Amino acid sequence: MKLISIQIFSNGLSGWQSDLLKFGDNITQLFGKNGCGKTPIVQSIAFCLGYPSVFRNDIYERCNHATLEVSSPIGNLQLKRIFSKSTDIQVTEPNGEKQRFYDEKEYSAYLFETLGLSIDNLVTNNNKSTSPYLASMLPIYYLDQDDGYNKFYSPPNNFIKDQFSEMMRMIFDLPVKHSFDQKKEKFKAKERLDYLDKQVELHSRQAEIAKQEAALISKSSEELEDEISTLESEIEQLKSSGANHDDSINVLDRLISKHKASIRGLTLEIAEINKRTSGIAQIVHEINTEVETLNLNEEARRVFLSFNEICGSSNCQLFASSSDAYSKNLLYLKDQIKDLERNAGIDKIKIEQIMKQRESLEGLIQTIIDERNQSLEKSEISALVDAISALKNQIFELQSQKSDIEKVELLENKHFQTIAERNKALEKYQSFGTDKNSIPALVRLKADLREFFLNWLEILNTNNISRNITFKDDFTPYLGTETISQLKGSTRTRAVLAYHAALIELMAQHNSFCFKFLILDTPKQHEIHNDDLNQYIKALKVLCDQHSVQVVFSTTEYHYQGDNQDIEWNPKYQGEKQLMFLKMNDQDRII
Amino acid sequence: MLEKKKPREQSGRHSFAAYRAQVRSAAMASLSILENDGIDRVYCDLHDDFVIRKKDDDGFSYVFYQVKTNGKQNHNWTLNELFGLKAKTKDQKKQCTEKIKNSFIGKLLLHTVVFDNYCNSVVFQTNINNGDDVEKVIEDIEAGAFQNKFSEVLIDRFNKCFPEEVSNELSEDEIKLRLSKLKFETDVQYLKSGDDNFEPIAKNAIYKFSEVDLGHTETREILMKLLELVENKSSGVIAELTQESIEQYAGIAIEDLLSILSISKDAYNNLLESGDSKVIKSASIIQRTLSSAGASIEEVEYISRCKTNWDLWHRKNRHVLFEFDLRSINSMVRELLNSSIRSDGSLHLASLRSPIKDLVSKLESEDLMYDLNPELILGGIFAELVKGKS
Repeated sequence: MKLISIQIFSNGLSGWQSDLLKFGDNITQLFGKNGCGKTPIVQSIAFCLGYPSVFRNDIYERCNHATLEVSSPIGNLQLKRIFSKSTDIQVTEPNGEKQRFYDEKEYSAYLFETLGLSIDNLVTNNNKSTSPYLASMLPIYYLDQDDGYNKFYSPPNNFIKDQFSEMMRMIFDLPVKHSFDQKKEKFKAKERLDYLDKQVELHSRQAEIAKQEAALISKSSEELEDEISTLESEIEQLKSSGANHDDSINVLDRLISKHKASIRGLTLEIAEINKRTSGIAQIVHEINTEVETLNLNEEARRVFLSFNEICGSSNCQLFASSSDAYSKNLLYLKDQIKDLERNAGIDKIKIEQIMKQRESLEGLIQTIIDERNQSLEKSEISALVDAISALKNQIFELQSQKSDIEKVELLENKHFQTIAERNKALEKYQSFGTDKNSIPALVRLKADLREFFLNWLEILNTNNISRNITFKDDFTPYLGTETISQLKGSTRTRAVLAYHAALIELMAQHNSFCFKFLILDTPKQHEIHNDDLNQYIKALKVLCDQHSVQVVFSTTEYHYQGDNQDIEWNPKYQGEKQLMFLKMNDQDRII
Repeated sequence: MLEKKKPREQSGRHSFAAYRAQVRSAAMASLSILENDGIDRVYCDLHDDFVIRKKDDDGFSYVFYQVKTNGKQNHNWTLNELFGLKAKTKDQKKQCTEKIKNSFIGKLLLHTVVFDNYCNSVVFQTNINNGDDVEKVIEDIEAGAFQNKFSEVLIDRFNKCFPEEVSNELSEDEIKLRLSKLKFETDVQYLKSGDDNFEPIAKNAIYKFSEVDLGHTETREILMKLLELVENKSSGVIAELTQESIEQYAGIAIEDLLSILSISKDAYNNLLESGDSKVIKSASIIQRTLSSAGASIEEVEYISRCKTNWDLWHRKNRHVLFEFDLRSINSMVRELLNSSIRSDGSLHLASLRSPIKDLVSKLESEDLMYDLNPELILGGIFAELVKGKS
């Protein structure tokens, strides 16, 4: 989901309203002095997305509603939310249909579904059933002016068990940590796994059978396609050029020579395989000699050990390594023989197949030769017909081969897909086991997140934080032995900023976004040096460029110089003391 | 001249034979570890001739074995020899407690007291049979009746036999429970002197748990190694008794066995999970590894061909090249393998391409390339993989 535009509408004639503010493709900067109304606008974005933002009273009094336009997989949505302390949201879908929500839960479910996220039943801190809310998801993407910079994740309410982890798992499509319907889900997961196991087996067998059928065909479908088109063009030529007797004969000759060439190729291959097979016998013999040597060595060792002169100690380690290695060396050598024997078996089958192929080609050549000889005596027209029909036969043959090959390719693809699906199902099933934290995908995510986090800390020039980052409860970082609450002032802000940028980068890397934006309400709360903030925003800009992510931030002093992908919003309307973002409704009429 | 006189005594010869029997029996017991049905350790010559550890839901328990062979095949063990009881005595009160205590069985029963719940059972194992009197006592105890007059003597004297070990006098039921732990294994074939069938039985087990078709000499070599292992674990005094030192000097575990058997850990686990032993014996390590990862037979063939070529190259060149060079090449290949294996133990062919290229240029720069090529190196990587698994 990306942001397109936002507008605030006034409440009555003396209300406040804003222009239609369009978001930049990359960075949207709200630049204005303190008290010019940046915060209500930033808050409204999250507010329309279902976040329980709390506004100043004059906003509730003077503004009626805000409308946020966003893009979604089903098209652009208009989210209109009335400024009130209760929930009243109206969504206009691309087809003009309107839906109205008075309940956060329903709205959350609607938006998550629209964004294609799967909604699982989660567990609250009191072990009741619950589902994910937008209010618990948004803090990952939206940093509130005050609370947002205190913790890595600061939701308005922390009522879901392992809320942050669950939200992250939802974004990355990982199995939930605490599922309310655990037993049921586990059973279902097991059933699905079993089903997919069987599917994998079935598909692999189907693919195997199809492959065996197509074993005689040594070309790929593209090559066959090429050959077919050459033959077709040849037919065209014959037809169009008003071909004479010789042309027709030539076509047949060409066909014959082509087949002969492939027979030569096959004969060569057989010779090659035969050579290999005779080599194998030699190698097996060599290995057996090796085994004998090994046995003799072992015997010799025993004889030596029986002489006390060499070493009287019963715990002598003189021959220890060679003794331990005996059976392993034996295993290794015999294993070689197994490989050789199997390969010889495969070669034998291959030779048979090639022989068959050669025979059928030889038969084909014979018939074409006969045909040609007959054509020599026939009239021009019937020679032409013969040539064309020979070509057509050839095309038909190739086409049937092609369809066989395509069948194999199709089945193999299907097989591959089922394997991928099965692995996912297995992961899900494993997540119900006792060791829920070691899902491979989760471990991978954490490793990536750690790397990105370190990188962003570097960008923000944060030197006084331990680089030994570990994670608690899946995604909450520990900086060495310190928690975020031990950090103070700008260090804490830097850590939070770095972490959220790392999260966005992680989502970009794994291409799993819930929302494709990051909203920072006044990131320069504490004394972060302008240069460092500039570095940060610039690095974010690179990320935006690469993965089309949006960053929205508000600022009073620091000013970012953007390009044409970025947009800057400035207050334009004269208030009592300074320029403001919101204007009086009746100003238009006055001017 | 020597043959003209009967030697004064031959007990040394006898005890040597007895020791051999004990080693063979312990070897058979350790082979049963392979079956994985509860037995997970065999301790040699510790507390008794050998002790096996059983693992079940309640934790560990121990079975103590006493192995006694008798050279005279037609002899039957008597009550006196086993229990120290006089069979002919009318008045059972005249039986001697001291003799009971010092008898074979008395010594075995001591374990039931000392190790209490941890003692699963005590076994008397022998190559001959028991006399009728003895059989009756055993039947009586096994049936749980305790009606036999000799069983009654045993119950009566039990507490007195182990005055130091028994802190509180055991009740009659407690004594019965301990007596019922007594088991006999008589007429054990592999303990017979001369014509024993130890070799065929043991060879059978070794063959069953082997990954390759073993020849006669090869099975024999492995069997000798097994006996050697048992002997090693039976000799030397353990100075300090700790769990580690006992495991190290007296304990035989599955790892010890697998290292002397021609079976890889993977194959063994596969066998236990009711894998087809025929498949294991015929499929090579590469084939099993790759097929389980979903590779096609063509891939298996290609890679095993590369490996065979490497093996050939290696065999040809091991006496031609400087050993230092050869070992360097080996270790570089091994390093490449180790760095390419992922954390979950899988190996991806496609991801080997560039490391192999790097290795080729490294070998070239160090003048180690000889007639190697990337395919041979690929074969080498898989050769190392197989070595690692075996």
